[in-house]
Amino acid sequence: MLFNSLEFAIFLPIVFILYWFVTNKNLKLQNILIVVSSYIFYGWWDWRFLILMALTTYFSWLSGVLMYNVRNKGSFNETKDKRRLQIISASNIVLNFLILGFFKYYNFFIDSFVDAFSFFGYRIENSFTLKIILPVGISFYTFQALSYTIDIYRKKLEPTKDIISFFAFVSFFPQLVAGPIERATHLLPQFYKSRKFDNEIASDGLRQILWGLFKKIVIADNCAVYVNQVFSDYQSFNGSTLVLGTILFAFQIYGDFSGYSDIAIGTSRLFGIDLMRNFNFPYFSRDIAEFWRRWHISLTTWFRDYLYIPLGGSKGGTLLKIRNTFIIFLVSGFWHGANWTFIAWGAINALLFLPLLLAKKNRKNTDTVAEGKLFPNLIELTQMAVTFILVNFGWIFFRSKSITDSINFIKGIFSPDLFKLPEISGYNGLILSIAVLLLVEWLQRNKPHGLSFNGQKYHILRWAAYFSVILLIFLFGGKSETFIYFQF
Amino acid sequence: MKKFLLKILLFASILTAFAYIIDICISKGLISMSDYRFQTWNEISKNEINADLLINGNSRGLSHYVPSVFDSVLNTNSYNIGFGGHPFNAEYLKYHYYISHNKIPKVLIQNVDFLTLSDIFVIGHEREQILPFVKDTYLRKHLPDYGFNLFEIYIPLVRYFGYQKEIKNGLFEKFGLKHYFNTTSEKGFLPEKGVWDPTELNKIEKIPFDKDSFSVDLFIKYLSELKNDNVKVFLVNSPVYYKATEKLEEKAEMYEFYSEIARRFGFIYLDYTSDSLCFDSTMFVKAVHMNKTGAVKFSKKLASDLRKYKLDDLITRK
Repeated sequence: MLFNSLEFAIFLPIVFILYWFVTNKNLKLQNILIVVSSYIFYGWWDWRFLILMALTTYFSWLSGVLMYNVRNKGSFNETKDKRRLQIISASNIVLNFLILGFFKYYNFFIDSFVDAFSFFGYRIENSFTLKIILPVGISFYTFQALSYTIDIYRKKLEPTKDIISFFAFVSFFPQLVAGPIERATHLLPQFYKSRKFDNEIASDGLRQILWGLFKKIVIADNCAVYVNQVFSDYQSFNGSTLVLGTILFAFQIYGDFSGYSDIAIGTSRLFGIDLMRNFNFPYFSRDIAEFWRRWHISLTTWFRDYLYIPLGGSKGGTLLKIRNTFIIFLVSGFWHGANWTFIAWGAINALLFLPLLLAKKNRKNTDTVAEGKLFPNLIELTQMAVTFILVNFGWIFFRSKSITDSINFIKGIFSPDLFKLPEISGYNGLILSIAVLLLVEWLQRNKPHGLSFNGQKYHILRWAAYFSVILLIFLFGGKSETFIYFQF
Repeated sequence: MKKFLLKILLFASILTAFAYIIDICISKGLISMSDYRFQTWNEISKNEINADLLINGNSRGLSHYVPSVFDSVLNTNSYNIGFGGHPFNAEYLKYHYYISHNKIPKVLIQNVDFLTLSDIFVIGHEREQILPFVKDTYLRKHLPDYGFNLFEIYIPLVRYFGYQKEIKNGLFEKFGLKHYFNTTSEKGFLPEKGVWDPTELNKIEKIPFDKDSFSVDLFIKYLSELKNDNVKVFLVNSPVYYKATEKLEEKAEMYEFYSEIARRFGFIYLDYTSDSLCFDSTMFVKAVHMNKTGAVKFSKKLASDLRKYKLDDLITRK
């Protein structure tokens, strides 16, 4: 079920009413409702993969129970029992990665294996690839379930015997298919406590949903029309059109993914559940390191906590820093999909990030840009523009079908007709919409989202703003596109 | 919670009222535009056509039959309700929409060809032509079978979602602001513009005669209804460029199918796919579409052929 669909427009109020008016007096019943509605939400796309999600959830829960039993059986043998704990957590991690690997990466590995042999002159008949459908959101819920097992192993979290709460934690529908990837330490305990309806939080949740819909429907879906045209037929366009196509993709992916996150976070706030922030106005970043602290925060911090820091992080020698930086960015790229383009995108970002890390300037910009001022100064403006250009360079690889296409696309940009007018037309309204997005988000850059209005002042003005956004969505909404991150 | 729900209710009520007003403005603007897409649906809805000779069909139906020619040759009152870009189910919908507002015709020319009975699919091509009319009693009831959901029919503004051009044009038209129209039709007839271009023909390897069982059943139902209403029906295979006919698979089966079905209902089947017009590329714009010159010549030929069938007692003179 898509957030921007009419099915969801019916589904959400029904679940909301059942949640607050029918099951509100019984926590267990309320959690069961969350699980059932989440499975309906997911099954709407393809019910067959519900079994896969249920298995992942069950085995992760079971690993927690088994680890609990080992730790609480009486006398704890430091060698034997520690080994047992390692085996239990490793088994669950391996099982989850096997499922993820099969559905997401099997064909990629087979193809790459065959290509590698062909490169060395050995011909292998490729009859091993399979027609595999990638289950929506598998990377998201698998990583969420993994965080539980790892945190229990690290003693950061007490295992739960409450299987319903655990199923609710893994399948919670607002963030099930495209995140934010929640940590068990943050989300799971929220299902143990009864939730109270908070008018302010719920109202702000609705505002966040509205802003998310604007970003998805007005920005991303309209950008998609031009982006698809430019990237599918880049050989036919001049350099300026390719530049425009790349910039529009930057706004498409931002509008699409941050829009989804806003809807997810806003929706869960309607149910009294707090989700972590996933985007913090990344295109106002002054360097790549800041960009990565503001883009897809839940994934970046997941890799930081469960991969980068265990590898040694930025401690140790220069070589270790370089190795760890490359590992985290390459793995992050590979997480997005089984294609060399994502790996190249990760490598480019690693190369852009490394100089800052080695010069110890990666944490230089941790505050909000132009804090307390209406406009940025010239230096800040230049820094933001340069960062945006660098990020866009990476997006070319992310969006292209192959590495060859990416390189040819870049060659096309630097063609002699770079300074001619773009060869696509009719995008003036879209540019205006992007300007509205940037203006609103710039003014709100200290807030959690674009429509975050605190306090009770200016009722009429605020309502006028909401109506305007809704009308913009209705009048300038693009033809419905699915969310980009569903494929990851 | 009570406060929250009341606020939502108030917000939704104001929003619905706004949406309703804008919806009306867009719809009225589109209806009053001189644009062929909305023109025929609008003319039909006014209950004033009441043609004695009605023409129905797909894009060939729409662009090969010129009502003014039939009017002058047969001294009658004709109208073309062709529906381009779709197989027969769309034509069935438009015919019933027509007779829900106008009297049943005495004579009907039904264009038939290799695409008429292909797979049923939802209204997709130029779907916007129906949007201002979804509140019509007949359409409201039947559009869900054609890919329209209930929200589009009953909730204001939802059906215009994603149709930015139509929204802009409708509002501009409604408020008298300058904007550009598409072409207008002439009693429903919409000529194909341009000169002969063989590109499409060269791309085509084979043209199959699609015969979907649902389409066939619907077509038979349609013919039965026409028979019951005492409508004199001519199934007409209009000219296509001869090289396209050469690429048509199961040619004999198609002719046989339409001949047999016409015989079964006591209707007439007329085939013009071997007519001399088919060998003259200046009559066409592409493989299976005639230009205006071709359409006029073909309509004259067909009208004079129809005279043989003694339609005088069926067609009321003007």
